[in-house]
Amino acid sequence: MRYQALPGWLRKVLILTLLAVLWEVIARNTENSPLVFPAFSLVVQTFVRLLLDGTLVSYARVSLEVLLKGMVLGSLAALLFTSVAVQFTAGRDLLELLTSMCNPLPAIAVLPIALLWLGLGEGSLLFVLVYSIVWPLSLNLYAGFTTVPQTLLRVGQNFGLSRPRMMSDILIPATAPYILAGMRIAWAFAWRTLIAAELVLGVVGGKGGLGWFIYQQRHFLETASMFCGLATIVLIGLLVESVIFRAIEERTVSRWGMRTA
Amino acid sequence: MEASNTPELHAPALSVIHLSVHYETERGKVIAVEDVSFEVNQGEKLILLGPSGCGKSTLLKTIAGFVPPTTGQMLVNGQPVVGPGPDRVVVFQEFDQLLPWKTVLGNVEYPLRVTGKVPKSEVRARAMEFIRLVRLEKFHDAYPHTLSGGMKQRTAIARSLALEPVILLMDEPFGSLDAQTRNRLQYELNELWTRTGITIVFVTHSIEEAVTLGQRIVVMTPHPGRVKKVLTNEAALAPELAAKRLLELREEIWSLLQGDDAENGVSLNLPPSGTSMVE
Ligand SMILES: Nc1ncnc2c1ncn2[C@@H]1O[C@H](COP(=O)(O)OP(=O)(O)OP(=O)(O)O)[C@@H](O)[C@H]1O
Ligand SMILES: [Mg+2]
Repeated sequence: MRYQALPGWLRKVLILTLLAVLWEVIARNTENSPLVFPAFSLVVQTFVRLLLDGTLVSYARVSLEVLLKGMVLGSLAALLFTSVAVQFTAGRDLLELLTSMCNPLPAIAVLPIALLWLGLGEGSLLFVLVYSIVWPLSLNLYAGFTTVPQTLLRVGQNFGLSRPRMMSDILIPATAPYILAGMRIAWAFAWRTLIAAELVLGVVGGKGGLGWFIYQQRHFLETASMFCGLATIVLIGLLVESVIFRAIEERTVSRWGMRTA
Repeated sequence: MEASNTPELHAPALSVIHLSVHYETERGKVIAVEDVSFEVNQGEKLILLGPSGCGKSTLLKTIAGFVPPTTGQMLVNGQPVVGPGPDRVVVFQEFDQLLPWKTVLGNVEYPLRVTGKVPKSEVRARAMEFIRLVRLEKFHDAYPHTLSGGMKQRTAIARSLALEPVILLMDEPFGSLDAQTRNRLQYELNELWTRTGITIVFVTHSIEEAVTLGQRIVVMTPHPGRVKKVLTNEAALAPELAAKRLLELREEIWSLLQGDDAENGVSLNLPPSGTSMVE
């Protein structure tokens, strides 16, 4: 059977298998100790062990809990910010200025300042998370709110909708494609930022996340475990992106035939 | 279906009294509607007809409450109205007037719910009743993007009728449809009107559409938008008069507007009214 004729997922599985085999062959045929470059089979073995004894799950849970809080706070901040920007010219100018100023600055760079202001705790983590998502999300929301078709707004007015109802029943659903696109970007930014912050910050209130896990394993020279930590970060990232976000998309904007932003 | 307007009310459904609407633009003041007065009786189908730019849409938006009048006022059932409200429901020309995230049924139900027009327990039945009226019962669970243009406009009509407004305002609702679908919907609208007795103000720039639908036709001319003449279409009431009267009406409207175009050759403050009449 010709390679091109295979279904897409099978082609990808084939490539992944090939990469794994290559990894295994290289690891076994070099002088490196497993402390420096563990074989693929060892990583898989370790991964299964860490998954079954709950280690990875508990570290991932710590990360995801903080992340979720950060996303909620960041989304609320973005929503508030955008509502102001939509209504007042000065608000819009502020949004434009701040986003273009803060865009080149990686969120992790504000961690030292957060530590200074908020101390060595969850507050600092949340601060960088909110910082990482509030700009891209606000930009998307703003683009969404300003492109709601005028006809829909008129329809809402025609039904005599109150301001809050106009917001919840017309503006927000009409902006769904932009909200979804914004949340995707926000998630991607936040996840990377969080792992980086955990690497720097270490344990918070006796609990560490995946970033901290990787850092810790370096001290124990558990190289295979470090790879397992990385793999978990990748897997969660893919899962959220291609399972959770895709499911939300299929159930909302795709089903409604709305142009995806 | 019962008639939506109550005949014992003797006030006209709508009175437009010395209404003027001016727009302030960077290029100066635009007089879109200038001192327009007319009345719409209960259960009447009134057409606002005129070439592009004569202020038909502006007038309708003002009646709907989306645009504040510069001077003058409007009475609905004899009561002054300001701002938009579900007593004057608008069917727009644009297909995007349906909420894309709601099905046909959801779209018809939604305003019934939020306006509290009927008790919660009756919302579903009433929505279905009006969906049947526009013959979309098979598509009640379809999302708007899966419907044809004609079906979307029918849904919008059902949604508006279900609210039983005092007046149904329609701004070229069939303007974006192909000729065949447009004719079909004109015919259906006439039927709906016969069955519900709803009062309709219908905007069009098509003479053909005006004489097909209107009992009375308000002929408007641009720059500034004024009422040139109000014509009565007896043919709408007596089918045996139809053919002859329609021909006469068509000719009368043509000459009314022709004369107007000549006057407008000298108006400088606005862009030329381009294509005057289609059909
Ligand atoms: N929002 C606005 N701001 C400024 N001027 C406007 C606005 N809306 C309409 N006008 C002007 O008012 C005049 C009447 O416009 P209107 O849309 O009411 O015309 P119309 O009769 O509906 O035309 P058409 O048949 O093309 O829809 C036009 O000269 C137009 O340029
Ligand atoms: Mg118009």
